[in-house]
Amino acid sequence: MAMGGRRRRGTLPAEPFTPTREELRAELAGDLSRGGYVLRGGDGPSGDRRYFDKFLVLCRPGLLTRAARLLAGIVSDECERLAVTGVPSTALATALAQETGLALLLADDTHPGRFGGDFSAGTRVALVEDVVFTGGTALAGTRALRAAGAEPLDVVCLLDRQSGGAQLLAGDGVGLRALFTETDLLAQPGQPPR
Amino acid sequence: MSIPATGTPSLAPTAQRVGERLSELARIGGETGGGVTRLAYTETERDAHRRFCAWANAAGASCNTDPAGNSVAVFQEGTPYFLIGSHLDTVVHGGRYDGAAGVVGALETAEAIGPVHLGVRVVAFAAEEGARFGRPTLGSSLAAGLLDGDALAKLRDARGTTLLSAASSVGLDPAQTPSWLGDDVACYFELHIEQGRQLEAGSARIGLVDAIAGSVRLQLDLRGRADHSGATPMRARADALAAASECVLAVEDTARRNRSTVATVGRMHINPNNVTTIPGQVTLTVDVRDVDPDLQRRAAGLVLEAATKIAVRRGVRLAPEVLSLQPPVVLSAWPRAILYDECRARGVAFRVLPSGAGHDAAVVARRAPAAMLFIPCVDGVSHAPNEQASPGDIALASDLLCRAIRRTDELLLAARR
Ligand SMILES: [Zn+2]
Repeated sequence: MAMGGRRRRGTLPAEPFTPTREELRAELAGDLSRGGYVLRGGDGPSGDRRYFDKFLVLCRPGLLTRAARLLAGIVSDECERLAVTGVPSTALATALAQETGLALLLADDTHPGRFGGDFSAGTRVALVEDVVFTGGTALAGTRALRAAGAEPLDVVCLLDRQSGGAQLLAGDGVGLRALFTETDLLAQPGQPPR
Repeated sequence: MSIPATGTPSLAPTAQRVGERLSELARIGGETGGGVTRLAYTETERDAHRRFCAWANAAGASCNTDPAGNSVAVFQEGTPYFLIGSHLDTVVHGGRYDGAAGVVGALETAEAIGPVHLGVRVVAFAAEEGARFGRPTLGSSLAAGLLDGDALAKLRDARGTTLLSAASSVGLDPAQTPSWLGDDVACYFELHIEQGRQLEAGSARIGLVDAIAGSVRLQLDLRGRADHSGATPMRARADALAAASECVLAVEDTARRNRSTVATVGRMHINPNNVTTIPGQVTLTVDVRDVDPDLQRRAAGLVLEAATKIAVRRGVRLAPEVLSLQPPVVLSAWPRAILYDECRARGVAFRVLPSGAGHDAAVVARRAPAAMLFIPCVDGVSHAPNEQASPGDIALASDLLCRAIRRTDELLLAARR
């Protein structure tokens, strides 16, 4: 951090403790690359032994807050609501709603296909996902939003694992905005072996 | 190979040797009353490193010491390699387990592990305790290339001896340390006493560390007016100590607002410190720790904000200074996941917990995957002569490390195919 060796007398108190965006981003990337990947014994569904542990960030208040602060900067200006369908993603969506002031649309657990929260036909929505892999889950979410009458603009996520998600969503006219790509995180020190 | 339900019987010989080696180390810098003082960059610390190398040599490992004083014993050649270890220096009147337990345990692991595909090395880091030069984890930071020459040259102990001259008097030259801690390390494992009471309270024998707290250290200098205590009416005073006292409470209050934050005022100097003079000047330190860098900064910011308000209200001048800033570290998930499995397979009661104290593992984690195992220490006492831990727990942790490293070795090999 820049202020590591800095010694200042009588400075405005809070100032030395206001991190820049880049510092926050570097810290979050460091934490995720160090702690986010789990090397598993058995072969996973795709034969991949390296998994990203999304619960690392979704369960820790500090990481969640930092993630939301950074994600707030990539939600498009046209967006009027944040929507969420999955339970774990709701933690991230809640933090993001608090950070941006955008109201939420929550998938109704008792009425499939419906969303709780106020919206009308054509309300422009960003779907919040934790991790986008092939994009199947995200696409199902944006289609459900469209079927309910909203207009899904894009999917906002923490991590794009670069496994076809962006292409799949683009085919349906939906953008993908990710805070990090897998390449970003694996470029950090302390990464799991490749 | 059959796995015993509880490790104690089969580990007895190891536990005995662990106990003997810890007693031997405790005699190096040992004091009457049971305490140990092996300060960084002294002959006593070097003696402990020589003992470490002698043990490694006896087990057939070569042992080298880098210019920072870190000793590395190569038990199995090969890169990348597993690195296991801790530190051998202590605080003044410290105990016999902080650091030493991890080094002795690492030797047991390295000797018992059997052939693996990657290399195996044991490290005894130098100067982990900030006790002498005010900055912790010097050895590991130098090996990781995380400490620049300017910062190094500025470090002095309380007697004014510079770190560089202290090091040179024991034949070391930290400024020349090559940064060797990096991509070659497949994973670093550190065993350490908990220095807290969570394991003891939960009757767990093993703690798996998920994050290591950092710290922000501030110095607040408050200047009021040193007037006569009898002749100055209450409303005409600018009492620096009264302001400082409010600051102490504000520090406590700030930390209490957030469950993951701890904050302490550990030192205060009062001037002129006289029975009949209103304190004109007070200097105090604030140590703020959290496992999240953002929450840690936020707490430090809130402390400064509160202190400013107090100073303004009381007509006292505040000059804050940031003494040091260590960011917290989240440890890699995958080695910990392997350790969970080994604990479960052996039926060992464990707990996942953060470390409030800093460790070499936090430094290594910036360069390579790192995992940390805690063992309980009696009543959570540490940095004191009556620090106590069980050699049986150290042997158990060493055995878990052995199994975890063998498993990691297989997984890494499979992942590379
Ligand atoms: Zn220690």
